[in-house]
Amino acid sequence: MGLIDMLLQKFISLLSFDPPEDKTETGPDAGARQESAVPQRKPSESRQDTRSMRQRTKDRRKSRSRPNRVQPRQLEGIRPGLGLGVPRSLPADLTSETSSEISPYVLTFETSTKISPDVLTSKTSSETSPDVLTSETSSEVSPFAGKTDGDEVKPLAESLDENLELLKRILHYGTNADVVVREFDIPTDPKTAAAIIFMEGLAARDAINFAILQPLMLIANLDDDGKTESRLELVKRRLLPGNQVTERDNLRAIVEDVLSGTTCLLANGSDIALSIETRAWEHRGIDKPSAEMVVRGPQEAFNETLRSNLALIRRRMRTPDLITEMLKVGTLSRTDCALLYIEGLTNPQLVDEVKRRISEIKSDHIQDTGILEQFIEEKPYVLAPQTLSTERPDRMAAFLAEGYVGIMLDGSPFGLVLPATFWSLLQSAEDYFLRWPFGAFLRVVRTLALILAIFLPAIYLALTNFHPEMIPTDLLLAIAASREKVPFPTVVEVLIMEIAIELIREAGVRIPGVIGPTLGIVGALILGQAAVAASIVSPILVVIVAITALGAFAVPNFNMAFAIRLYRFVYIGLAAALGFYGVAIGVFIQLVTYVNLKSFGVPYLSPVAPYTRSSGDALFRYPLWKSEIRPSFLKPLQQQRQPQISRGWVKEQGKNSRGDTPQANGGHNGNKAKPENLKGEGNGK
Amino acid sequence: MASKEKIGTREAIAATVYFLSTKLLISFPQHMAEMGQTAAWIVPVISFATATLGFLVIVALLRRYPGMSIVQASEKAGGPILGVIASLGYFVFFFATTILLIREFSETVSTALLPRTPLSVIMGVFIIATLVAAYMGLEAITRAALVGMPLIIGTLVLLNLLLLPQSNFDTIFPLFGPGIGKIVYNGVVHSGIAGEIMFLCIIAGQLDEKHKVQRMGLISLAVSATFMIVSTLNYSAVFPYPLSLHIAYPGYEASTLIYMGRFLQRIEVAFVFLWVISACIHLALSGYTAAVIIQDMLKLPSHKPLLPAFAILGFTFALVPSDVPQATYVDFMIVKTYGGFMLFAVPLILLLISRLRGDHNTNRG
Repeated sequence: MGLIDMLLQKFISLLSFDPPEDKTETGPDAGARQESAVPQRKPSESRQDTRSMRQRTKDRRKSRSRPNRVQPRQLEGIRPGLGLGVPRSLPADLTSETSSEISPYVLTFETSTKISPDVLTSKTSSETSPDVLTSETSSEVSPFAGKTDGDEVKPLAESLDENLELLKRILHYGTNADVVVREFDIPTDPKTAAAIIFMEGLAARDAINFAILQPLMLIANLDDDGKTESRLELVKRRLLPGNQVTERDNLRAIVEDVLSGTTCLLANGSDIALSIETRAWEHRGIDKPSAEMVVRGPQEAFNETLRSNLALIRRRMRTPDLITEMLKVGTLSRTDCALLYIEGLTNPQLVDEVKRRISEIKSDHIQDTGILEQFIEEKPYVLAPQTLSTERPDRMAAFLAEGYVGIMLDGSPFGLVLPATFWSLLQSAEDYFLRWPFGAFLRVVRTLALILAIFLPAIYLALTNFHPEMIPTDLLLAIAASREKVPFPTVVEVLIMEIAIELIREAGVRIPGVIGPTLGIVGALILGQAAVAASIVSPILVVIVAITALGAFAVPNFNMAFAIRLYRFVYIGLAAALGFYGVAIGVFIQLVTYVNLKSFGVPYLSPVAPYTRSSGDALFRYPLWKSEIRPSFLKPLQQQRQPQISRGWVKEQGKNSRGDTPQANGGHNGNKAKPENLKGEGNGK
Repeated sequence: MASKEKIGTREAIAATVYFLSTKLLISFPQHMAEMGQTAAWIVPVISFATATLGFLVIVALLRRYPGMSIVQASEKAGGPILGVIASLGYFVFFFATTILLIREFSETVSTALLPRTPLSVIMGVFIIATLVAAYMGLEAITRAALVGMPLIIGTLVLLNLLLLPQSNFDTIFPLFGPGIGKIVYNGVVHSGIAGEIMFLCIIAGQLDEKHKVQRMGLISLAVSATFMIVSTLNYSAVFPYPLSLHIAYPGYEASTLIYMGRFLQRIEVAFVFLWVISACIHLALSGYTAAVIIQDMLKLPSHKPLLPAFAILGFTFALVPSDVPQATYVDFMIVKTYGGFMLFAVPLILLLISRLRGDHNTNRG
């Protein structure tokens, strides 16, 4: 053992350019490091801890100011340019003796080989009996199962074998066929044993072969110029042509990188690994929107790849202030979640609230924004959707420009916009791409569709059952004649048809693609026709149900359309029981529920109730040059979207943007237009 | 003591207008005809003018105690005994209004929409709906009022316009009906028909812009008075005196007369549909106000536990009047008559006491 220690010391001293006093400090601990995966801490390190906290704060600020560079938490508090054998500074909270949580640094190597410290320190596991944690079965649990974001992580050892052994066990190497570990030597003098780990299928094979293995194995040239601190630094600077190479110092970060398609390089004698960007999994290309189609406007939709989706948004928002903050959701899925907002525009309280809710989610598997929204919405028992989902990058960009917060999840082709208002759920991207009278007209049509989709069957029921005097005589006779042979009461008739429509719709979605459209025709036409011929339903009811279904389809938001489908049944029940009175009571209760509802602190019916300043972009739409302010219910940091005179060219004709003469407007013309920050001047949600 | 909900100016005005105007949909015009005969439309002019003066007195009292509601200000000005008596008076007015309105609206629904449905079912549904709203709080009700504002305005404007073909304005003569003196007397005595303006003073502590109470109140009174006067005038023209004495729900009856060709007739159901929503907002406001008065009086942390009890009491008391005429008689001849004194004269007395004592609250909360 002593011989091994001595050799290891020698090797470390060869690779390292650290000051001799550090080396002498590590000397006595070297033996212990064979026993423990965690370096023993020294009193001097507590001072470093304080510094590391400051450093951590700086890093956070830095990560805020550099939106594109995601700073994983694991790197916080790490000194840059760490050399081999240098004791790393550790987060202060971990060294605190008063810390109530179990520090992974206290655990011995033997313990940690059986149970990951992540499991021990996770909040979920703390609820489990300690006996369970120390039992043999618990050693088979993935070290990252039930792991939460705030827990600490296990640092790398300097021994390659040790690190590989741990990583192989964590990644179930051997059992898990996707994990590839390639061991090799870097031709240094003496040779440095190294290994790369990656996931087959997630990482690009060519990049690994030609940009990692080839330079490291064949053209390694590590002539030291005496300026760099360590060999690993040299490797990073000279031998890895990959465009993104990041240092990782703990197992958790490495495992997460590997699982996301990155290739990790480990070298003997180094307690730092290099994470080389090689992500290249198979994914769907950019396709046309399937749920939010437009005739005029962009024809691109999100796909399942987060990076592509973020690029689609960023392409439309070429401002450095567009921030993409990365979070992880799901203790098992560890799904990448991107939080999008515009620094200096979006209300920071809104951003913090969204972040708080996402980071507080304790669930194992979140793979779609549809699941995520259920964890962050305020009132789960209200049918109305409280978040807005969109598959259109142009719409997401437009919302961000107004001061909303966006959420994109890896693997989900739908982004979330927060907060959602009732009116925004009735709007379509096309409203803005068309000239304002057309856009406004579409909104009126859509509102009518909403009313029909919710109320038409209920109104029909109330009229025929309770208030036939309202129906014009000729129509009443026609209805009576058509219902003559129908044996069911009207409410049963309505329910039969509504359920049939729901069945057709559901079957149309679930059935294999080729048969789907056929089923729609079969269901809608043949079934309806046959039902009328068989005197099960009256022809007028087929018309009513068809119009209702069309109304629901005209609602642009899928979630809202779903809510409407359910509301319809509630109103059918109320109308069957109490006629118009029941419907009116239902409307009132729905109204007070909606005005009482909030989405991320924003009243659902804003800007109508409560009334707040806006550009009138709710149920109606006005000319874009009149849309001068952003919705004030979001409390954006920049209320003004564009100056009052947004059409500067009008001044050349001696008129202002409103088309008035300067005199008529108090001399306020285009020449006097105060330059404003036009950033984010984009509509098209 | 009231909740920390903040009510915007527009919401407060909308709610007050609802509170003041919805009685048009029940037997209000009939009672105006009873008091003013052919000059039925002048009575609300006098009543609203008197109520405006009374409201200014209440505002003057509130100004001495900034940030307080009228219940708290009454207690501060009149001491614990007189303050509690005054608050009880306010409570009785609003609670009685709620009970009688439940009955009157339910009877209207029974007559117009559901003649075969038991009255208790209609009342029960009304109470459940208003209970839900009152439970959600003032913010929800006032916002619902703001959203529903176009409903009541649209309904009243449409109704008045569509009734023009049926109107004969010769019936409003003699212009001063039973004589100016009698009209003025009846108008002043029945100033309680605008007594709901007190609502603004009860929620004064929750208003976003407390300093604008007077402005809000005056706007609400002006808008409501316009509705009341124009509608009463129109009903008087459609149902001339003394026929108007025998029509229990002139609004509903008038809507049955609307004829716009063979296809659009008998559209009263559509109007009643909108009136039910208006009635729900009114009932929710009055029920909430009654609960909040008790909450402030007893210094309770929340009004919500009171609501189920009030709902059961309201349901029970609403069934006490033997028929609609009795309910409307109690409403207009007792509640709206003595209510006016209670709501406007008592604050005047309290204001005088407060001035004599030189008592005022300097804390501008």
